[in-house]
Amino acid sequence: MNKKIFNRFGAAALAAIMAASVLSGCGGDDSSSTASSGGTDAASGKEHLDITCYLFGDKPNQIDDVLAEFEKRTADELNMSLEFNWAPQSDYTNNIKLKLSAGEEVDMCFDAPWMNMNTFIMQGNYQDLTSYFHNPEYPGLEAAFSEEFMSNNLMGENGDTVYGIPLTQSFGEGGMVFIRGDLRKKYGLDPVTDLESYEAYLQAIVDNEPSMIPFVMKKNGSYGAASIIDVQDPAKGIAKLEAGLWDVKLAAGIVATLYIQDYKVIDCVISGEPSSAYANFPAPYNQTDLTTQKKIREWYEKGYIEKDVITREDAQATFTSGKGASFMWGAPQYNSVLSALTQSVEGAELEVYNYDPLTAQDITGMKKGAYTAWNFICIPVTTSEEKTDRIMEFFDWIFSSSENHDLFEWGIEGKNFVAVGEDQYEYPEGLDLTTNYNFPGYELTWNPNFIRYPVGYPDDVLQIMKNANNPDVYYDPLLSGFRFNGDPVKNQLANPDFATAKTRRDNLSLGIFEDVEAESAAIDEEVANNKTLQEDIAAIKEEVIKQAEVYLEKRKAQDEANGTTYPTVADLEAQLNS
Amino acid sequence: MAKKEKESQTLRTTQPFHLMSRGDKMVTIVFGTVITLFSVACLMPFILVVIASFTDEATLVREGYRFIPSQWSIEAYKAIFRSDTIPRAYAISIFVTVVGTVMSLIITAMGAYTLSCTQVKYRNKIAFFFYFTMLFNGGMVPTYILISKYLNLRDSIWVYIIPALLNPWNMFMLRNFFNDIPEALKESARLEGAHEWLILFRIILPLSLPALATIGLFYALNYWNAWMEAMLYIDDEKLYTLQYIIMKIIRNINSATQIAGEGAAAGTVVPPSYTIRLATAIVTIGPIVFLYPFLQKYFVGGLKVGGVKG
Amino acid sequence: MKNEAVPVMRKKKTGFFGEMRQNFWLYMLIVPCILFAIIFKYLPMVGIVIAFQDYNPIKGMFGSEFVGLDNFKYFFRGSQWLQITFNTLYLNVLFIVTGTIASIAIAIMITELGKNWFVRLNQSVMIFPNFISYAVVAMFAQAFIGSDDGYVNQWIEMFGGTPISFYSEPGVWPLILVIIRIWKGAGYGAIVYMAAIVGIDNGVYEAARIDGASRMQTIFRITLPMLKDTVILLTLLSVGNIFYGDFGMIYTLVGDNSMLFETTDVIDTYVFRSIRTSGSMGMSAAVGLYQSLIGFFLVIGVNALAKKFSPESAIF
Repeated sequence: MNKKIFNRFGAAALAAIMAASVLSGCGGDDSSSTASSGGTDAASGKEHLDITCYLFGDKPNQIDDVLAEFEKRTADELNMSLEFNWAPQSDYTNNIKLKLSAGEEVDMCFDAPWMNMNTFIMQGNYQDLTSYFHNPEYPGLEAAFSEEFMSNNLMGENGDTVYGIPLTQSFGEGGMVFIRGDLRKKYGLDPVTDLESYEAYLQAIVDNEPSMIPFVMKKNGSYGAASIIDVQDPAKGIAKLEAGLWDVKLAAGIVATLYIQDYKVIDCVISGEPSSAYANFPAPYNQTDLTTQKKIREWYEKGYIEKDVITREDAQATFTSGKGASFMWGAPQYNSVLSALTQSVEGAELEVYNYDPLTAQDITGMKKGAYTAWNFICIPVTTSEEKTDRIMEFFDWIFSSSENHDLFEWGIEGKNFVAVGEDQYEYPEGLDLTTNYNFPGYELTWNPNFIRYPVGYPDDVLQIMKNANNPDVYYDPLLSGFRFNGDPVKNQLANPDFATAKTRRDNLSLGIFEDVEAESAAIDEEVANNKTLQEDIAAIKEEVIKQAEVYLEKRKAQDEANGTTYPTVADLEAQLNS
Repeated sequence: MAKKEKESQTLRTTQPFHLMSRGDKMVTIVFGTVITLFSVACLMPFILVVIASFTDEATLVREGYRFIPSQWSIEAYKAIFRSDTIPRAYAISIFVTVVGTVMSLIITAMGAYTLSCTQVKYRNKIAFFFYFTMLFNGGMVPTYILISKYLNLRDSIWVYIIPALLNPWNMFMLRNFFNDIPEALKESARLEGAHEWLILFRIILPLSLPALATIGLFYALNYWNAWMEAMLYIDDEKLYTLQYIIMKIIRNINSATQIAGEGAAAGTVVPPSYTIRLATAIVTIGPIVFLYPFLQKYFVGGLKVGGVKG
Repeated sequence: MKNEAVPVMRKKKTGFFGEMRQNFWLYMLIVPCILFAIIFKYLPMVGIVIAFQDYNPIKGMFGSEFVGLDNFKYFFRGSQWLQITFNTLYLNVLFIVTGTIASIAIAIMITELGKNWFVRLNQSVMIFPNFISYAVVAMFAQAFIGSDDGYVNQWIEMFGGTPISFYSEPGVWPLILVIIRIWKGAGYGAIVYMAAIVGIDNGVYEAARIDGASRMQTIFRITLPMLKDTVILLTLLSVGNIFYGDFGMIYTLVGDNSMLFETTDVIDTYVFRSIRTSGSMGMSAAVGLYQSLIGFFLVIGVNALAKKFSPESAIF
C-alpha cells in the first residue's frame, strides 16, 4: 500500500474537521450587528434608539403586535424600539449575570430584593435614578409615584436612593378561600362567613366525601392554613405592635421581629431562632407562640388537610379537578378558577370565603400595608447616560396616561381588551383567552394609579380585590420603608444551618408533626447548641439593628411632620363595637 | 449463508431450547422471567404516561393514573403544539443530533485509538489530561464569554454541536473497546505499510460496531436533549431545539403555578400542567424509541478473545 | 491476547522529539480532541477564580474583588457539612454499586436469552424509564407510596400490616432512591455491558461448552471476568463525580421535606437551600471546587488501586 496516499487521506480528514469548526465560528457573525442604525427622521429630532430589556417568564402572546403599535404611536415622541428578552424564572438571574459578564447590552432589566438587587446595588451595578422622580421634566413619573410611595422604596447604603422603578399595585394580598357552593348546599350548611362556619364546611366534607381533600395547601405552606388562622384575632396583631414589636421581611422567607420603643431598637429576633431569644421581649411575647401551628395540627388530625401535604405541588389544579373542596388563592384568579372548575366538575358552584375578619367587617386602618414594592426595573451602569434618559422618558410615557399604560398592561384596546370607564375592563366577545395578550404587568407596568377591575365579577370577590388596593383599610407600619441590605452579612445569611432550621420551622405550619412543641423544642435546642450559627445570627442581628436605627431616625422626623399615629387595640375595639 | 454466520456469532445459546440440559433450561426460564418482569415494570408506567397524557387534566388529578380514564383529552398536546415552531424544532434537533453524532464519533474514535495504542509513550499523560476535564470545570461564566464573545457562536446552529463534540467519558469507553482488539491485527497491518488512519478506519472501526453503536447512542441522546445552549445562546426562534421549547413550556408552567395568583391578570388561562409534563415526555422520546432498535442490529459479535486473562 | 507483551519491531527511541517523530500520525489523530479540550475545557478553567471572588459580572473575572477563602466559609460554618458530605458519598456509592450490579445482570440475562423479537423488544422497553423526567417520576412515587391511597400502603393493609407514612420516614429513603435509580437507569446502563458481552468471541463459549461447562459456569467463568475492565473503568469514571449529589432526582422527590433530610440531604440540595436567595456565583463556585477537589483526591487513589489490579483499565 502506498503510504503517501493515506497521508493525504489523513490530512484531508483533519482539515475537514478543522474547517467545520472554523466555518461554524463565522456562522453567528451577522446576528451580532443589531446595533441601532435608525435615522433621525422623527419630528422630535431624537435619534432612533433600540432598547433591550430583560424580563423573566414566557414571551407574551401578541407582544410583537403591541410593540409595533407602540412604535407607531410614539414615533414622533419617543422614536425608539423596544426589544424584550425572556428567560424562565429559574434561569433568569443567572442569565443576566452571564450577559453582563460578556459585556452584552442589557439596557434595563427586572430585578428584585428577592433576586440580585441588593447585591447588585452594593456592587455598584445599578444606576441611581433618584433624580428622575419628583422631577417636573418627567411629569408622568411625578404623578404616578408620589412622595409617600417612593419613600417606601429607597435603598442603598444610607437608604435614600432610588435604584429601580418600583412596581406594585396593592397594599396587601387580596387572598381568599375558594369553596364549593354546591357541596355546601348539599350538606345543608349556611354560607361560610367566618372560621366557625368554614370549619363546619370542612367537617362536612370529611364526613361525606372521603375521597376529597377538604382544604388543599401547597407543600411550601404558602396560601396555607397559617394565613387563615393567623388573622382570626386582629386584636392580637394590633396588641403586638402596641407593645412595640414590628415584623420586617429581611430576605425571602426570613423575617425579623424588632422590639422598638420610641424609635429605638431594643432587641431583635430572627425567624429560626430558639425560643430563648425572645427573653427580652415584653410578656407574653417572650416565648415562641405556637397556637397557629397547633391549630393546624388539629386540622391535620381531623382530616381537613391531606396527610402528604408535603408533596402537594399545585393546589389550584387539585381544587378545580374536583379532588379538593377548598383552597386559598388570589382574588383576581376568580374567573380562571371558575371556568376550570365548572369545566371539569358538572354542577359545581364556586363560592368564596373572605377569611379576614377586618375586611369582612369593613374596618379601616387596621391592616398592615404600604406601597412597599418587591419588584423593580433597574438600569445597569453600563447603559449610557443618554440612553438612561430615554428609558426614563419611556416610563414617563407609560405612566402619563392610562391609555399608554394599558397598551402594555392589557394590549390593544378593542382587540385584546375593552376599557370600561375609569377602572374596569372586559374582554371583547368571542376572544380566545388562550392566545390573548398576557403581559406580566408586575414586571413592567404595575402602579396603584392604574388599576382596572374585571367587569362581571361577583361583588364579594371585587370587594376583596378593591380592599387590597384601598389605602383606607391599611395603616402604614413603622418599618414600611426599611429595606434590609443583607450584603454585609451575606456569609452569615448563607450559613446552611440557618436555611435548614428555617425549613424545619416552616414545616411546622403543615401539620405534619405529631407534637409541634416537641419538634419546635428540638429545633430550638439544635440551634441553641450550634455556636457558629449563634455567632452568625448575632452578626445578622447587629446589622439589622444598625440599619433599622438609621431608618428609624428618618422615620421619626417623617412621622412627626405628618403626625402619623399607629393603631391601638382600643381603636380597633371602638370600631368593632360601633 | 453470510446471514447465518452472523447469527451464530450473536447467539449465545446456539442450542434450541428443547435440546438444552435441565439446568440450562432452568436458566433460560429464570432469566426470561426476570427480564420480562423488569420490562413490564418499565413499560407499564410508560404506557400509563402515554394514556395519562391523553387524559383530561382534572380527571388525572382526581383519579390518578388509570389505564382507562373516564375522560380523554388532547388539550396537553394542543398546548404544546400551539407553538408553531415545533415542526421546525424537530428538524433542528434531528440535524443537530445526526451531524453532531457523526462528527463526535469521528473525533472520539481518533482520540480513543491513539490512547489505545501501547506504543504511544505519553498516552497515560494524555489520558489524564482528558480525565482532568471531567473533574474540574470553570463554570458557566467563562464558557459563556468564550462561546458568545470570542467564538461568536451566538445564534448559530453550531453552538449545539461544537462545544459538545467530545465527551471524555465516551472516549474512555471507546478506548477500552479498542483495547480488546488484538494488537497483532494492527501490527500486521503496520508491517504491510498501512497508515494509522487506514488501520483505524478500515480495521479497528469495522470491528467495533457494537461499541460505536453504543457510544453513538450516548452522543445522540446528548445532542437530542440539548436545551441549555438554546437558552443561553439562541435568540432566533427558528433555531430552537425541540427540547428547549419543551423545557420552556415546563419551566414556565412551574413558575406560572407559583405566581399566577399574585401576579397574573384576571382571566389568565392556566395550562394543564400535569398532562403537559407527560405529553412532553412522549413528544421528545419518539425518535429515540426508533433509533435504539435500529442500533441494535449493530450489536454483533466482536473479536474479544476471552479466556486468556480469565 | 492483550496489549501487553506486544512485539514491537521498531527500536524504542527516547526523548520527546523522538517519540513525536516516531508516532507522528498517532499523535495527529488525537490533536482535534486535544484542541477541543484546551479551548472548551481548559481555557474556561480561569473561571475557577470566581470561587475566590466577590464576583461582580460588570467588572468580570479579572476586575472583581478577591475575598480569599470567604466563599468557602459558609459551607463549613454549617454544623452538617460532614454529615452532608457523607450522605452524598454514601448515596452515590449505593447508586454506583447497585446500578452496576443491576446493569450487568440485565446485560447478561439478555445476551444469554439470545436474539429474537421478544428479547429485542424487552431490550428497547428497558430504556424507556430513562426518558421519563423526575417530575413525572415524583408523580408516580406519590401514587405508589402516598399515605392516603398509595398502592404500597393498600397492599400492606391488604395483608393486615400498618400503613407506613413514607414521607416522614427517613430510614426507607435510601432504599426508595435506589429502587428508582435502578428502575430508571439500569436498562440504559446495560447497553454498555451488552456491547462488551457481544464483543466476546463466541468460540470461547463453544470451547467451554464442549468441556461440559454449564451455562451458569460460563457466565461466572467467562462473561464476568471479561467485563472486569469495563466495570473498573466505569467505576473510575464515576468516582470523580462522587461528591456531586443527584440534585435533579433528590430535590424533585424530597424537596424541602425536612423530615427526610437526615438520610437524603446531599451537598447540592444543602447548598441550594442556603444560597437560593442570594444566588452568589462565588459561593456556588466554591462548593463546586470543594466537590471536585475531594473527588480528585479520591480518584487518584482509586486509579492507583486499579492500576495494581488491572493495568489496562486504569484511566491514566
